Formats: sequence, C-alpha cells, structure tokens
Amino acid sequence: MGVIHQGQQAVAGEPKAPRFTPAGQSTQVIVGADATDDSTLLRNAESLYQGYGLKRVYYSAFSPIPDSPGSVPLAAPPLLREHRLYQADFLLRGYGYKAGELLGQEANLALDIDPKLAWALANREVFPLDVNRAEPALLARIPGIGLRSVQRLVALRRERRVRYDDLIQLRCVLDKARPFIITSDYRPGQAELRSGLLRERLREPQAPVQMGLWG
Amino acid sequence: MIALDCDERFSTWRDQARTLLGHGIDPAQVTWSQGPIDDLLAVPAPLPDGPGPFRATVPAALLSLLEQASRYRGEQRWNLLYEVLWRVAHGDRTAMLAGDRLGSELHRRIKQVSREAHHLHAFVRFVPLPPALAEQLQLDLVAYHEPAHDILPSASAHFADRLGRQRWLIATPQDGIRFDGQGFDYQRHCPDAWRQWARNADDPGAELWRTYYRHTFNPARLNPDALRLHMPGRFWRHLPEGMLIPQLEGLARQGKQRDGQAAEVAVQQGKTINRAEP
Repeated sequence: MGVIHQGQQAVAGEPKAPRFTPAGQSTQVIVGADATDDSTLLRNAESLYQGYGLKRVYYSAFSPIPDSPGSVPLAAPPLLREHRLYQADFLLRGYGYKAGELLGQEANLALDIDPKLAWALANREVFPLDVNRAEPALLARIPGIGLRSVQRLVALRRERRVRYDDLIQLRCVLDKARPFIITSDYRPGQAELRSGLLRERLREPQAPVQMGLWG
Repeated sequence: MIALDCDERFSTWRDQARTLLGHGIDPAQVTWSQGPIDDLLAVPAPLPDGPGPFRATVPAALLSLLEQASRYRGEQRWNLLYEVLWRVAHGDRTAMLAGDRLGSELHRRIKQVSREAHHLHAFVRFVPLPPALAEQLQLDLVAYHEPAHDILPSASAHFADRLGRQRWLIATPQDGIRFDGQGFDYQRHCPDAWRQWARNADDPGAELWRTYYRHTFNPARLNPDALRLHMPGRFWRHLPEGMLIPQLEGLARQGKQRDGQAAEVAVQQGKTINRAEP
C-alpha cells in the first residue's frame, strides 16, 4: 500500500509526469483459509477504496489442493460467502453504503439473505419509499431495484407517474421490493410490516452444510 | 394493409418508415415481411409516393436506439421499430423508455444484441493458416462463428483494433467479413469459399489449449448454471474445449472434487532436483 501511496504522491502536481497506473490498481483476498471475519475484510476493502483509490477488491473462496499443509481447512470452498462478499463490495463501491452500515455489530454477513435486503430489514423506518418522489440515492437502497433500474425509473417519472406495472416491465425483483415501495397505485399492506416475518419469507433456502472433504 | 420488404437493411427501413410517418399511416396498417403476407385477410396496398404532409421530429437518441434494436433477429423485427417510432413521433416519449411495455421490449432487444456482440468478442477463435496457404489466400487468420443476431458488421472492428495489420476473416452461416490490414470487406451473403476456408482450417494449438484447459479446470468451484449463462452451449461446437466441458463436468459430479486436479497430474511422481555442486 505504501508503494501505491508513494507512486500517487510522486506524480501529484506534475502534469507532465507519466500517469501512475493508468488502468487502476486491484487486489485479491482469499476467503476462508484462516479465521478472518467478513467485518475485517469489508472494513479493509473500504479503507482501500477510500484511502488509495483502488479499482476493485476481488474475493476468492479458498479451494485446497491435495497435500495442502494442515494449517488450512480441508473443506469445500465457501462459495456462498464469497458471493455475499461480492454483493457487499458492490454496495460499497456503487451504492454509497458504509461497511459499518452493512455489518452493524455482526462479525459476518448473513448467508441466507443478501446484504441489501438485510440492511432494509434492519432499517424499516426509512421505508416504504415513494418511487415517484424519493431521491435516486435512496431508490437505490430498495432491495430488488438496482442502479440501472433507478436510472430508468428517474427517466420514466420525468414523463409520467410510475405505476406498479412499470416495475414489472423494468424486471425489478418485486418479491423483494414489494414491502418497501409505494407507487401511484400501490402501497404495501399493514400485515407485511414485520421484519422477522418478512425475513422468513424472503430468505433463500440453504443447502445442508457439506462435510469436510479430507476430514 | 401495406406489405413491405426492407431486405433486412436498416437504411431501407428508415426511408420506408419516414414515408409512412409522413403520410400518417398507423402501425397496424403496415407489415414488414419477406415473401407473401401471412395475414389471410390483408389486402396489399402500395407504399404512398412522396414525403407526405406530416413533419415528425424525434430525439436523435431514438435513431441510435432503433438502429441497435434493428440488429435483433426475431418476430416483428421491423414492425416493433415502427410502432416505437410512431408513438414517439406523436408525442409519447415513454415508448422509448424501459418502463413502458413497448420500450421494455425495445431495450430487451438492444441488450440481447450487445450481449451477442460480447459473445462474438469472447468466443471467436482465430486459427492461423500455414504460411504457404496464407500467402496464397492473402489471409493470416480465419474463424467460424454462429451469431444469433446481425452483429457482424458493427462488432467486428474490435478485432482490427487488436490484431494490427494481420489479415483475417470471420465466416458465419449468413454473412462474412474480411480484413486485409487496411479496410473491411463485408459480404451480406458469405461466399462459399470463405466458409470452406474457415471451417476446414486446422488449429495447430488446439491440443495444447485443451491440455491447459483440462489442467486449470477446478472441479471444486464448478457452477454449471453460471457456466452456461456466460458461455451458452450453442457456441461449444466451434470451440476447441467444447467437447471437454461436459466431460469435466461429469467427472466433477462424480466426486472428482476430492482430487482437485487432473487425474494425470495426481498420479505423477514428483521429481527430485539435485542441488547444484559448487
């Protein structure tokens, strides 16, 4: 990291110097080879993005090869954990979330629901949001509505009021979005307003934990 | 009912659509098709002459959207474009936005087309011709590809940027394109000779590539659905590793995950390297 920082400092203020790493820097983290938790990984990633302008942090689930030393776990690679880390990473880079918001006091991300839905369930006072009025940055916090859909919704609501059917046409994930949105012809029912129940309904079924391969 | 044939060319369609719009002809009154009209009740009517009284103005962005969507091969290929154009020209701009029923289909087509261009860039494998043949045909590299949409003329410049002055050719079942180091030669109907050269070329590096693919394949990380999503099965036929994929997938499913690497490597004895004498 020191090298990156020095390189950036060396060319700062010298317009004629060759650009330092014009394509940007990236790094890769191996996940699951030791006991490091998601909180440490994501907070480190966040400081890399903010402090050093890194383009990407890649996460790879650790996958052992035969005759690995005993210090690494001989288990199937934690692919779902890798997936959740990537989802959280996109939220950090593109959606303006903070690592602290995504994790709260938890050490690891939930595996059964995605981090955006987890944040929405933990912050019910923000929702439901009116799709016709809310700021674009807040629209992007609705589970099931991505950055692309936000752009399209904003373009559409300049022309006319957004209806529930429009969200279907935009192919938003309405199963997730439904409890969190208001449109000109839709408002979520009162019965759907409890986070615990919602979580039960929206969680993805988990495959049974696979046993260690060389155990 | 006006039946038109634009010969699958966007420029022809644009001229026809401009005339129709000028005469205020409703999209329900027009159909684009090749050969006889399939609507039994339709009575053929000719395209009116002259530009017509209605002066339509549409946003410039619409034209580029329509052009991209026109590369999509499928039902209602040209009718849909005229319906969008008609609605936008009559003041309903939502028709070109993805939130609308029609706009949603338009944007879906554009996405399919750009995805197909990505497939072209990802799955065209150029085969180098032997020097004698290369001299005779004035070609260094040939490739055969089966795109699902008409993306060859618009997406092929990518290769000219990357391959420098090398001369190459891409043949498909419909069209073909050839680059001679200076400029493109695009043929709407691929000459048979081109197709023969591309299909019969023998790739000298194929075996090396297959060995590499087999050995770097990690069965523990295999995700067959994601694999098919990013590399649809229809492309496997023309890839050297195409035959290997189902085979390796099968082995992984049968518990190859235990080994984590190719069987040939797992059984090999290690070789001791002696320390160099001082």
